[in-house]
Amino acid sequence: MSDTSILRIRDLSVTFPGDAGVVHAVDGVDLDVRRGECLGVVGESGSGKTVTFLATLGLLAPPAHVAASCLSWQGTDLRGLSQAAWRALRGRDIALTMQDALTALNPALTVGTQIIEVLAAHGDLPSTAARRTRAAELLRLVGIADPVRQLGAYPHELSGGMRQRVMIAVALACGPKLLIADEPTTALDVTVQAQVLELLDSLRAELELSLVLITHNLGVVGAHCNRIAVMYAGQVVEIGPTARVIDRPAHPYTAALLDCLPRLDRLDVTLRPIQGSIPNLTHLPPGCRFAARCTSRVAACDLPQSMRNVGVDHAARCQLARVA
Amino acid sequence: MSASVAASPTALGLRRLCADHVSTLCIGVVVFAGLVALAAPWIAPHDPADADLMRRLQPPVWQDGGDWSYPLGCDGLGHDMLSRLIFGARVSLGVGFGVVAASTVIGTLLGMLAGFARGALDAVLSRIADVLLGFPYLVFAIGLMGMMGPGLSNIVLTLVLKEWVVAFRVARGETLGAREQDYVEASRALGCRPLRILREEILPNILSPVLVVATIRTAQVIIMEASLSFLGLGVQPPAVSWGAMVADGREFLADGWWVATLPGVAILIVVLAINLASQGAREAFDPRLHR
Amino acid sequence: MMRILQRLLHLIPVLLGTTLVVFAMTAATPGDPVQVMLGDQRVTPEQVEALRHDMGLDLPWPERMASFVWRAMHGDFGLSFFHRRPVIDVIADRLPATIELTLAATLLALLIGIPLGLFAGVRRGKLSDRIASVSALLGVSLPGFWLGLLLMLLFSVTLHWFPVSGRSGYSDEPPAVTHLLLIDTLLARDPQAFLGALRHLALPALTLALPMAAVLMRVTRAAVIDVMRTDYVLFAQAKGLSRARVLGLHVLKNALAPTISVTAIEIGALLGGNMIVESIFAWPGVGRLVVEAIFARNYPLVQAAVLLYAVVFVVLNTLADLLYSVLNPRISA
Repeated sequence: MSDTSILRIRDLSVTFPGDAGVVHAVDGVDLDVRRGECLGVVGESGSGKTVTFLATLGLLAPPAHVAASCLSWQGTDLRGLSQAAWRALRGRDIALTMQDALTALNPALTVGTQIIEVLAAHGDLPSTAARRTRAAELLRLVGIADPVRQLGAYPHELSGGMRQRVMIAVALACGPKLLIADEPTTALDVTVQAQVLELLDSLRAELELSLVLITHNLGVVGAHCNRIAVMYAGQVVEIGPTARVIDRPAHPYTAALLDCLPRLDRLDVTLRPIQGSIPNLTHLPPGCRFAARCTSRVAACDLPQSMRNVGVDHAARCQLARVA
Repeated sequence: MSASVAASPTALGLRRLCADHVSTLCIGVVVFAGLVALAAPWIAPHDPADADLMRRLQPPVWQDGGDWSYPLGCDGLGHDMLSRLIFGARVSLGVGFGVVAASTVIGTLLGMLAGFARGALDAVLSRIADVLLGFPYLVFAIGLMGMMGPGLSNIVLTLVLKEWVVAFRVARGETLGAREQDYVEASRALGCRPLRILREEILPNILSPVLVVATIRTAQVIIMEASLSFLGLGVQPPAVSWGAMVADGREFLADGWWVATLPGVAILIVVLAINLASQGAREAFDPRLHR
Repeated sequence: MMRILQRLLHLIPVLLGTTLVVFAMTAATPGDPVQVMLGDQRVTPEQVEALRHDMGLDLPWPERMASFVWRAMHGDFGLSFFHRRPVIDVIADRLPATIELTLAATLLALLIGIPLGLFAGVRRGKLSDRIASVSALLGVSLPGFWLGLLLMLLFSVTLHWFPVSGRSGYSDEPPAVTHLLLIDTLLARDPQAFLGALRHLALPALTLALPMAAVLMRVTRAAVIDVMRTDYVLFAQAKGLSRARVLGLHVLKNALAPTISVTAIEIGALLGGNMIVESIFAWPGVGRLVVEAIFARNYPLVQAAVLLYAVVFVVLNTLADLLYSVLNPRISA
């Protein structure tokens, strides 16, 4: 494996006890995040993409059960980390932003308070005045006009796009090396989406930040990510450089996802949705989980599938994938 | 994956309730108490008004000086505690269930009317409800009972007068929500008369929350009646009330702790059972709580 | 600001309605109130007529109603025949004792109920939560008067730790500054009197406080559980904030809002409950005065006290509403 990876996940599995049985939200996921890259993690609801990273950050509490053969951040083993060590890590080295900024920001506290408390928690900048200045700087960095005044604003007083920017400012307050952005554009209008993605791009360049973009929107990853990981029903089904995955998808699911996208340059083609729905996560089939919906299905698909190399730095969990 | 046969929300709720052992036990306790109250004249070992001064302050059977013919001892005038407790159940439970039943019916009817018709009727009724709610419960009850005088019918009247507002608010709120639903719009579009809509579309859907609130209130009303009787504003002798029994026992705290304590235990058991059962009912019938 | 004004304006019709209801209560007395009040006292027919005229009972009822409302607004509730003094004075004498008891009970209830609720909500499902929740359920199911007697039985009669009744055991009370014994004894630098007052206050305040603490505990716990599930608590944890800050600020500030509303309603229960507690512990306050007045058929006094309680309750509820919108800025927007 490349030694530029800063976050290493091997064989991660997350289960929850449910009413009808054990829910296998994440099953045997291997992922690397490399220094300076933008990794796109794509999947439908229920694919396990968010849970993977919540588990990696130790934010899943019992009754969730998290297990992995390797979970390390720049060499530090994250498994069994003490609460104090986690608190030092989160916000400072690795930061997270969430999908809906309206629910992620505390409605009863001002925007300024929520940025300053991160600075205070990690011991940056001893004086209150210095922290306020830095908070205003951060707001300016993420493109918010009149930052000093906005420090006193409450989340519900801001527009959706501004709220998402504020959340990014909170996440970047202590200068983390990795930002995990969970669906940063889903709750926003299309025009605002573009602005936020451009912001993330420029911040990446300016701050030497590594980025994980979790989304269900292939259009977003296509334009902004170096590599794409596609997840389905708790597993990674394809991972590789963006250009390759988009131009020559190796896994039928990836191909089907790309086919779903309406395209302005092919207006005569009818939309082709993927038939069926994701499998029940408490009763997973032993073989390929996408088999029931796959148009290329054969008998051998009912056997357990593992990741196969299909190119340079490109792998897919499908025996039908051709090595290019 | 097998598809489960759809059951009505009420049936589902009932099924969940029966599966909840604690709630079932509590419902059993309440039913038992109710049966005891109904069967009082036949199962009480002695006449509750029968006073034998030779037996005054006789301890319960497990202390020195007690005997099995008066298992829970006697009070300051020589009445049998067990018999008085059994007859006291009649008043406490009777007033409790009776007041809640009456106030729920009245409050629900008025609440549905106010919520559905809106306009002047709603405004007037809501104002009245606001004013009545502005009185602390016991202050209102004591004030009104103080003016009217004690007695069973006065207690029932006073408590119903304060309780109907609770059912009114719940029914009105639920009706306001229900009338915006599509199925009501559809009925209206079909030309159904308002009364029919109320009876057949709205009532079944608001029944569940109304009943859950009613069970919660029963416990409160029982404590209210007991408090009023404790102060001497409740039913008068020779009628027996648990609250009045506790008041009688005040002067004997040192020599006869059971006179004041045992009726309180009875109240506690019944009220606790109702509270636990209504908690279970709320969890069983409220779809939002069930993940 | 508009909201505050709106809310205050809304008070007026409610207070008016409350006054009318209290007036209507008097109309509910069976028989002739004057005869009932005088009982078997030896009075001449002229004195009866004079009293009837004093009480305004010889006027048609619309006039009586208007007169009652008008006089109530000026604090004139007539004479207490029993005490031979204006009703308002009699009540004012006993008011400090009730205020002291109610304040002490409210403080106790808040100090016991909210932390316990936070504790239980955070440890949801664990043994400590179950124990706390069962205790709260018991607290809600106990009749207040029985709790008072039990506490008296245990701590006064059996253990002799606290006195059985009364407000102070000392014949010489400290110079009255606030009329609140606890504070006055401190101001007079009399530690013995302070301790004595405290010992007398303990059981009545505890009896009054515990049921309210149980309710507050349950409400706080439910609110805390709801808040712990929100995204902003998860985000706060993802930022690496200390547990103390997450709980103390993020959780508590949002969980307190519903608790405040309930506190106001529960203080209403306190206002009624102190009638019972004052009767049990012979606490010389307004509550006990009312109960005595009822049995003495002293209707003007009962009327005045009920109206006073109701007005206080309505005002408190309005304050709680306003406080809620301060704690939850989204509402006032």
